[in-house]
Amino acid sequence: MGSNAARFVLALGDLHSFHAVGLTPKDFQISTGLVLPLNFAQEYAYECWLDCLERLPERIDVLTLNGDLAEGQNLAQEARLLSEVDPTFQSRGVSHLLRPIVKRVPFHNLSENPFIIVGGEMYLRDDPDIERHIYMQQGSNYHTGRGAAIEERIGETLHARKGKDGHYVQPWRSSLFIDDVMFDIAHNQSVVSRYRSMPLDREIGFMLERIGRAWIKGLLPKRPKKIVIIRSHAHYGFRVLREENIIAISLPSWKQMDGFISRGKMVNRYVPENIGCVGFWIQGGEVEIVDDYLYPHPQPHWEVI
Amino acid sequence: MNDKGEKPTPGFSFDELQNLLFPDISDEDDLMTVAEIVELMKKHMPQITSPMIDYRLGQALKAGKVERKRVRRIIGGQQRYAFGYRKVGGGKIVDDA
Repeated sequence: MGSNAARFVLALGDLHSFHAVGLTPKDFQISTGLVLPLNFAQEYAYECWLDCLERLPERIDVLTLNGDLAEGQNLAQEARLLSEVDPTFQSRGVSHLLRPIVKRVPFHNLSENPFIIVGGEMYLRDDPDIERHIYMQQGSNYHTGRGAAIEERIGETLHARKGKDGHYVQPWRSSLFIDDVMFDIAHNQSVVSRYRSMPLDREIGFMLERIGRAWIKGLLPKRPKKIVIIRSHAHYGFRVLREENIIAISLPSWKQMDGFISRGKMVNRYVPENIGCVGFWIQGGEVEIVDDYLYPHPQPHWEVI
Repeated sequence: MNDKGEKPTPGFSFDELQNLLFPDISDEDDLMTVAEIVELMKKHMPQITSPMIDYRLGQALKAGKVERKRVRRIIGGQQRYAFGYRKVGGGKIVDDA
């Protein structure tokens, strides 16, 4: 593909699959052998997910998975908010959810046909060196398990890109060039209940410092025309801050607000506007943000006496 | 996406979302049996698991909506043990409590 062709990048994270209000697969058989029935909040998230799959383009050039894909062990609440406790089945459930998207992501540097035909059916070869343009960043330790085990398992199943250290999941992808646009992607960002643009503003400041230092040392492979910073973790809903040629994004989660966030992080002060994910069209060094994959988060019911 | 290309909307409020996690059992005037409480929880959350039931029964106990003895029989029950938590007693879930 030439650098003049438009490329589509999809960024999603914070699925928190198998949490009581997370994005959870439907008709999925869990470790007890039962097919999991969804509650109304999970039904809604899943309905939005199906809508999102319909709206996404047929080809997704780069998929970035930005952490907290499964809920994990929910240890602080003794697993009472989990619909599935088993981490292996949580990984399988997330892979099951993501598969319709992953199929649209091209392979990276293939030397031979990645598919084989067995009994008239086409299968992907069982080869760990087959990688798609899927870039995974590690979620919070609390959710991903030791060594990000849950997300590593997902990366292996989906044939994500491996790092030089052999891990699919990286803590921080600080300089990924897609054409002339540089991406800096990580799960974590500061969480503040007021002045919610501040963390993104600060990320832009740190970026300017880093890139200035790299420029002075002559380390930059090329001059980026635009820089996109992507962060997750805070469950603020979609937020974007622009300064010069830098765009800083806070990704929405797919999980609706639970008691931990409403009473712990946001202390009964904030309800997110939306859930979903964000896309980017990249062409000629320009970035167009696609916010068509956002869905309303349930809002307070105004009771009048 | 429906036929008109419209996006889904929640169809429930933030308050109902919160109640999904913490069902309001105080609406019931009478003392509830364990079976009634579990039934009420299942209405809110069809796939409710044993730890969730334990937690909510703890709330029910605090609210004075269940008798301590019945709650103990569930908290110390087979399912709690099956999830690998501390085994408190040898009771079982009793639907007709």
